[in-house]
Amino acid sequence: MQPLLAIVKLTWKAAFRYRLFVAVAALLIGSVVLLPLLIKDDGTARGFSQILLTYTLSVIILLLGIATIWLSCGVLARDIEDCQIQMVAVKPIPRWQIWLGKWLGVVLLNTALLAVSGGAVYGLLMYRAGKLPAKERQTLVAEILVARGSLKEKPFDVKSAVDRYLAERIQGADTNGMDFRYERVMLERQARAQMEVVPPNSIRSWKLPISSIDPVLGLDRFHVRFRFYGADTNSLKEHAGEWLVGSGQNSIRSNPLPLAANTFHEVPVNVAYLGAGKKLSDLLDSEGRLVIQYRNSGESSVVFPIEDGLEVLYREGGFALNFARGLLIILFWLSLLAALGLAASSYMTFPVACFCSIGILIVVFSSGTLSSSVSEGTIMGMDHETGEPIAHSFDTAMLPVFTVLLKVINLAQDFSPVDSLSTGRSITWGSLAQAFAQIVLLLGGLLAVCGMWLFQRRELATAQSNQ
Amino acid sequence: MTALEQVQATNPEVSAIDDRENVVAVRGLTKVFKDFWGRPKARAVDNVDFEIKRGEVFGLLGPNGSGKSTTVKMLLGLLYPTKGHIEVFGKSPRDVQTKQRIGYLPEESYLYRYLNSEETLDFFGNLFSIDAKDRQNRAEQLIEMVGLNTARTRTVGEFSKGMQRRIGLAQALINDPDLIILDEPTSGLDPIGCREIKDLIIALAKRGKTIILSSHLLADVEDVCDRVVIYYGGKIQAIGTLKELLSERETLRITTPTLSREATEKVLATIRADIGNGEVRVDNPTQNLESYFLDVVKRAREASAETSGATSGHRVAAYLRGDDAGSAADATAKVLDRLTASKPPAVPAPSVPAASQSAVDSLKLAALGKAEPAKPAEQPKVAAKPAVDLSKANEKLSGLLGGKSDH
Amino acid sequence: MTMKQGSNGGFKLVLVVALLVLLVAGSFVQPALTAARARLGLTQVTPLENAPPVLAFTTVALGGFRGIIANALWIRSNELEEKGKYFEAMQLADWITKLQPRMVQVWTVQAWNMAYNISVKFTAPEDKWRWVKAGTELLRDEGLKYNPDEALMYRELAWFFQHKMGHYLDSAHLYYKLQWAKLMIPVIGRDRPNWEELLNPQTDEAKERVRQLRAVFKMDPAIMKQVDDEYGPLEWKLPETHAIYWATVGLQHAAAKDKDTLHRVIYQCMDVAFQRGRLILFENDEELFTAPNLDILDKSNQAYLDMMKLDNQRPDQYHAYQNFLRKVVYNLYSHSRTRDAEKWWKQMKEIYPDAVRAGITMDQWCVEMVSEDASGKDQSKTISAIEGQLTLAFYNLAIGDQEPAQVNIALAVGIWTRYMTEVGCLNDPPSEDCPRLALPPLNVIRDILRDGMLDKDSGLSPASRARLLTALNLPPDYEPTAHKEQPKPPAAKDAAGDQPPTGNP
Repeated sequence: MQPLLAIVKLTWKAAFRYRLFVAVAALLIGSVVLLPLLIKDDGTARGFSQILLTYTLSVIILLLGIATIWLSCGVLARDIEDCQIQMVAVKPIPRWQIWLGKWLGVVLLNTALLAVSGGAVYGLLMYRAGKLPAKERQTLVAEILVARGSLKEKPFDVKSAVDRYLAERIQGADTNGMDFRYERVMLERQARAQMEVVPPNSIRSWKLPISSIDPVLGLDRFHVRFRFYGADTNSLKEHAGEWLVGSGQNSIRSNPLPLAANTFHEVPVNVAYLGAGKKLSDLLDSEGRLVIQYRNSGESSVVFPIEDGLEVLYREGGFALNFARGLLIILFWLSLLAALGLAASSYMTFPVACFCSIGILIVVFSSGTLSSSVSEGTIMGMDHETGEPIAHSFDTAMLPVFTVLLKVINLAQDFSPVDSLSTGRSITWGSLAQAFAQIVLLLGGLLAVCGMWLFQRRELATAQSNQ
Repeated sequence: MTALEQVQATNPEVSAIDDRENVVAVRGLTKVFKDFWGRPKARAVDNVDFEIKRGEVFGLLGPNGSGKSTTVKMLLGLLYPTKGHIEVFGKSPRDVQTKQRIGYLPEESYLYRYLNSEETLDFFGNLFSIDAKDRQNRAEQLIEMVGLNTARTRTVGEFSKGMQRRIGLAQALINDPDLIILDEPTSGLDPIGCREIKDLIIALAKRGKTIILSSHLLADVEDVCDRVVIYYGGKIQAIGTLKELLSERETLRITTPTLSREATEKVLATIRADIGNGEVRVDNPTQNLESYFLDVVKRAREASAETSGATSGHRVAAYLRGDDAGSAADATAKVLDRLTASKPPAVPAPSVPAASQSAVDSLKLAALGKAEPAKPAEQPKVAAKPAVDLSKANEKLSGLLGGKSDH
Repeated sequence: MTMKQGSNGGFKLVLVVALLVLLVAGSFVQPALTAARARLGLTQVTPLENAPPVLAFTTVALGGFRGIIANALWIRSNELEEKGKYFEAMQLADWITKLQPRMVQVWTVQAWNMAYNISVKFTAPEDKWRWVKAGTELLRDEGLKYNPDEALMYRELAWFFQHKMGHYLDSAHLYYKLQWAKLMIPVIGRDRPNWEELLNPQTDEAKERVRQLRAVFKMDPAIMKQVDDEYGPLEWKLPETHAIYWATVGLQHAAAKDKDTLHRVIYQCMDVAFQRGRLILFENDEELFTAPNLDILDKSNQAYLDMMKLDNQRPDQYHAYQNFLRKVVYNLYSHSRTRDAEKWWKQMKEIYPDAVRAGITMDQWCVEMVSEDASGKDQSKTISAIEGQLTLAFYNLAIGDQEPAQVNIALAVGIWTRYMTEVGCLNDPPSEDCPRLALPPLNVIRDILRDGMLDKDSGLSPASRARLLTALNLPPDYEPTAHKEQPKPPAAKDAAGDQPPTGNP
């Protein structure tokens, strides 16, 4: 333990002696303070807070990410190149501890820097929120500076429904010459249409099992979030509809509300309309469900996609703790970056390690391309005339690689703290634990094992830097 | 015949059994550096065997790139042998616990430049898991010992080379090691510092510590080492105690004041009459480690042992000889003239080819010419103080070997 | 360490050969690339004017990478919009346009995106207006600064005024018009602009207003006066006037080939300015009505003639002009300017002999025109035409325009009578079909409409309601009693269950 801590301490000392810590901290705080002066917001306090959160946190991730790659590559590769590692490796400390010590050092540095810069962002937000007029502050606290949980109906399982319909269809029927693929496609379309389409003057209802979430029942306001399409999925035409929340006597009805298609709406619901002291629990039906109904009062059908669902957003906790959890996920990412840099520099020289780490990051950031390739089932694209992949053998060889790569990347990328924070969504303890397990333990651990193994095998005296 | 074989053939004591415990045992050690494609690039150490006993001060000698440092780094587990076997305290050099007993001073300052003396010692003390009180105690004493009292809080990056050697030595001793490996310990140190280090080595040896000293400063080695190996081209060319290596039992040297030519002829005639056609050589009595070392290197080269390191310059650059106008060949001829003129009439030495003779001569000349260009070469040195002689020899040798530190 | 001289030397030779081959090959492609760059407009020859240091720096320093970064930002902006996040849109548009300040499409698309795509995704009119205004400002304040000679920019800006704010397609168009009027009132005053003062401000207050006009709205009083003289008198608080203004400014800068499109903006706006170019504001400027601006009739007419000349008598314009003339006659008629209406009625008959049935009077023609049904036998069309005229009548009463209101009522009566005559209900005895085909009595239709407009929840604003009550001589506490239309019961459909779909796929 003592040797390990000595390495950690050494990393800190290096960061301070080379003024890296101060420089990065100054850069971070500077950008947090300066960014709000430079960014163009949409003119609302809400929009400003969102863009402020998004941009400051993104800049923090970017700066700290670069600093982490730089530091973690340098802290080992430079030691090897400048031969200092020779002095350390001949001492009674196992090589894996040297590696771990360096990693811990970098992670602790990141923790400190993230705490400082995150604190600055938080302070700035609170300061600005405090200066707003009461009404705007209320909106801000209700929608952004809050940790909102989300509740959806259990998604309709299209596939098993299709299975069931198909089973019913072929029961006792002559299946000779039946094209099952075609049948499935048709049944799926039908099932979807049944679920998604709301013709004029008809009603779509959602039943959300909200009684399972105790603290929510005492709330007196929440938001409903949804999206629908018109007949033309690209059209932004407005469609009129009426909303009914709750059941029986205890329900809140909206006036016919023209809403644009093809975009998400977040509609506030204030239970106090029912009467003073009324709570969300008063809206539930006999089975403890929150029923929300939509009546299409327009002249054409609208479509509520199954994938989007209808979400009820409710206050789950305060912003401060949520913000801290968000920062922790960012710290997990940075820890993974540190492990990546160290693993690379366990085997490569400093510039090469930096280059490789950044290369890997670029691949990660282009995971959008990866995922679209995987979902389209082709990398080189389709021939538009034949509908066949252009390079079939290439696709066959590379698609599995892409799929695996994407799965690995998604282990780390599935979390979106900046997004959640800027939309006032709750980052639960569960997802935090999951993030820790996936990012730090699994991916970081894998990189650490690789890095330590490479470092263990490496001959440390081959560097000839002084000759 | 290599020097090693020669020595072993004539000195049965070398292989005599020593009952002391082995601290280091190396058998068949070979290190081949490979290039990116895995093709052998250089054979730095080639089938080396030696053992080091507890309490020995063991010297590793050799020109640049002869494999000394590679051997040291394999002993420390910083490089892994291609073939062969190393044991340090009976274990693999990569064993973490073994390192508890080793102190290492590398050939250059590989210390963290942003730490000061105290922090450096504290850091390395921590790596040995020494508790805080001990650490401070030892650091205190070591800083005192290496004379860095006034520079405790200056960072190592600001140190002169000599100071860096001193703090390097201090860190090597923080764990009170049983085996101390010193790579060029005196390089960059002033004469007083050199003396202090040598005294320290002797003192440590007296306390039963085992010390491995790698150096091309022959004076260091001669002053403190019990046994030495001489490397050339990755192979051991000679091994043994200094006494064994330096005494030539097959030859006899008669040292006299300068004789007249007649007297010399007379003496030689007498000797020839006695030994027939055997080799008789007349030269100045410089048979110390330096000349022995040069002899070994020369023979190894004649036996065309490959070296992957630097080879010694066969000629001294014209401008250094103060003779840039004439051609190199002319210059050599002139020098040879002077040499032969100062010697007794040439006695043919049939077993030594003329070419190699002149090569050796020009080597010596270059060394001499650099150290004392005006002095005639025929001055015999009768009873010069060894220390003075050695330090001159060091200078000459370092000139010969390219003047660079060796690792 | 010795090197393998042989293999290394050979490799170097290969590299040198490759270098030479590539250089030679490159030199063949280079001219084509250079030509393509110039052809595709990738090379900016003229330096950027008026650019702040940051912009000048980025355009020079980033070189060809600007495009890539701009593309990346554009993709991000699209992705965020897809997710319903607009808070970054302004920032991203700012960056994208700064990276590509000379590319007109970048400005127009970004501005369009704000004014048209983002604005409609909000529910509250003030949110919609914020984005419409932001799109307009992006073009006017930034885009024109770097591209003062691009006709397309002027056309786009004019279009936002003409179409987004001016037209009635956006559910919040009245709000936009109101907000725009509120922006203009402090600068040009509540009434007609005082050109003397705007061109030559004397007081500090006037100077400040002119400064604002130039600095905030980027408008030149001299050009405004010129526009007003040429096309006016125009209502400067209404958006279409500004569309005419920006098109005119564009005409001064645009290349000859781009002028037609700007001219067309002016002609179209002149039509609009004639039909509803009069602004009526109520209730501390919280309520807004428009009415025809009959003063610019001749100029509007001239604009039509010019446009037809410009487009070389395209057939659709032939009909468009006919439509225009119909509206001219109707508007003059409904504003009781019978003599003028007669004049234009004659003119229309001369130009379009087929437009009017032979022997028909102007009064009859007007009834036919507003009944939107040539045969006069379509029951539902007739009812909606009557409702339209009655609604107009009540609106005109609410804004205090008594005369047009009377004409509207007369027309409603005319439509009713015409239909009933056609289906034979006014015959004696009434035809057999009469019970099935007859219209409700006119006063029933009138009362339902009136009470609908007087409904406190869904009708007129309280102020307009009060004015209408006064105009109708009804008491202020009048309670609408007329029969209200009941919403149809929704078809029961519970989509939460998952019954198997029926029928054949």
